[in-house]
Amino acid sequence: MKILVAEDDPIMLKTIQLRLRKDGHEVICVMDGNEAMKEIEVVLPDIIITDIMMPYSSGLEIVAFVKRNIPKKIPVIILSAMGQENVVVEAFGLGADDFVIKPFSPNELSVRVKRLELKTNN
Amino acid sequence: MKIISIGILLLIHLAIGFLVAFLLIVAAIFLYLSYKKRLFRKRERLKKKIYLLIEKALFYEPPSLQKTENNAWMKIPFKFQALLKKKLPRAVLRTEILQVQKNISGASRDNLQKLYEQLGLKQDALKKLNRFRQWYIKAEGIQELSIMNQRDCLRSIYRYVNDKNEYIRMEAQSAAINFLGFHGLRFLNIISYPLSEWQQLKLLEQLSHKPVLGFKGITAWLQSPNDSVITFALKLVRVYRCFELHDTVAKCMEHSNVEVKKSCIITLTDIYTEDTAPLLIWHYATEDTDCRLATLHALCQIRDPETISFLTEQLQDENNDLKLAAAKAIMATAGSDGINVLNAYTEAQSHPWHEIIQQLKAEAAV
Repeated sequence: MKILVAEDDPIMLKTIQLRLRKDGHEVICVMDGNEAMKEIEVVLPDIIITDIMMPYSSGLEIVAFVKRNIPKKIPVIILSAMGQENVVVEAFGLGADDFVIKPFSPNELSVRVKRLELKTNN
Repeated sequence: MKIISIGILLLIHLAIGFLVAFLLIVAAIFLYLSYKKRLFRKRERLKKKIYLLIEKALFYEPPSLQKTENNAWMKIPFKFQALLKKKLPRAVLRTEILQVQKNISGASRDNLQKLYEQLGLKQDALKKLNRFRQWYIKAEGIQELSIMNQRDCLRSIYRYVNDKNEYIRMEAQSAAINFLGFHGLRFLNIISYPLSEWQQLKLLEQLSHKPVLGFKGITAWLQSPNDSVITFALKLVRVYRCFELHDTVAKCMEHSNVEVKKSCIITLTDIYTEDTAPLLIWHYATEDTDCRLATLHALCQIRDPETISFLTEQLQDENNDLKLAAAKAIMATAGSDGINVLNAYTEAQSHPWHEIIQQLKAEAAV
């Protein structure tokens, strides 16, 4: 699967990338919201994983952008810090499919990606 | 003529002096910036190298029967062993491990913790705690051990919960909560230095992620000689809605510190019973303006119909803030009759009553 990961923390980005590559996915990494939107239009990923707090455009804006402008149905997983429950609710309102709260286990993220993959294939 | 020539010479010397000084400053800035740039690049290069080790540790699964040399958890490649003997690479590794540790959980987090211990970084942090006198090094050591969840270091950390340095004790208190959850609050029994407002909020935030196991000793904290401990205990009562402590909290109304009293009034509002409003009214006459205002706000939330006559009396107060607060409390308590009660007041048409009533009508309409 082609997965786009948007996360401004380089170490977290690398960690997620590693975990997903281990699962055999193709991972496209971006470090800010604007770059994410450009890449989404070009590569049309199968799943998007995005942090909420990012430079230029937030994760919420990415969710809204995907649901509004991309004809393909792309599931979005939100990464949020503890205490951002309201933002997560807002993200679901905009059309996000799942969320993971930081600190999170890379294995948990991997399982959630697999679940979305199965759901999409069905 | 001689005087003029000396003046010109002096000017030339001064100009040369300034020029030299300027050039020296520019050179110093240039050298400093290039040193910083070189250091930054070196750190970045090190980060890339070191991340390979972190990456290996994050997803490492030790073979069950095979043991590495010295019974180490993971075999560290020789190039890293040599590299990590140096100060800068070690510092970079520590920073990176701490950064990753904050954001991950599960098996990967445990693995990082093992790597941290295997590389002796735990011992480094303990050295910071025990061998250095500078407060920022000690505080950094405590914070590091706390992030890396080194529970066996609690004894070394706990002796700093009442340190004279604010930052050291803040870190030690946070670490106690991190390791022990609600049981960690036992440091409230012994601290003599004040808990800052910021630290109180930080501790509450930390506790919000821990399972609630009850507060052993909260009655003692509400009677602590340390006023900030009482204020914090009142916040705990408020946040965790400890209704059973109403009467113990009520005793804080007799405290001499105004901040404690104000906090007590706010807490009582959150756990009020039928006795709360009469109690607040009983203390009202002896309070200062701030506490009176807090009491009127509290009555506004409690909405006990028995308080209407008391609130109406407060409309005659000289202080306009108290008048407005009393009027708002009447509006909240009397409901739709609130405006009628205020209109019936003898001075309802005079200044400032006319304006107050108009404002409340507008607020009620919204």
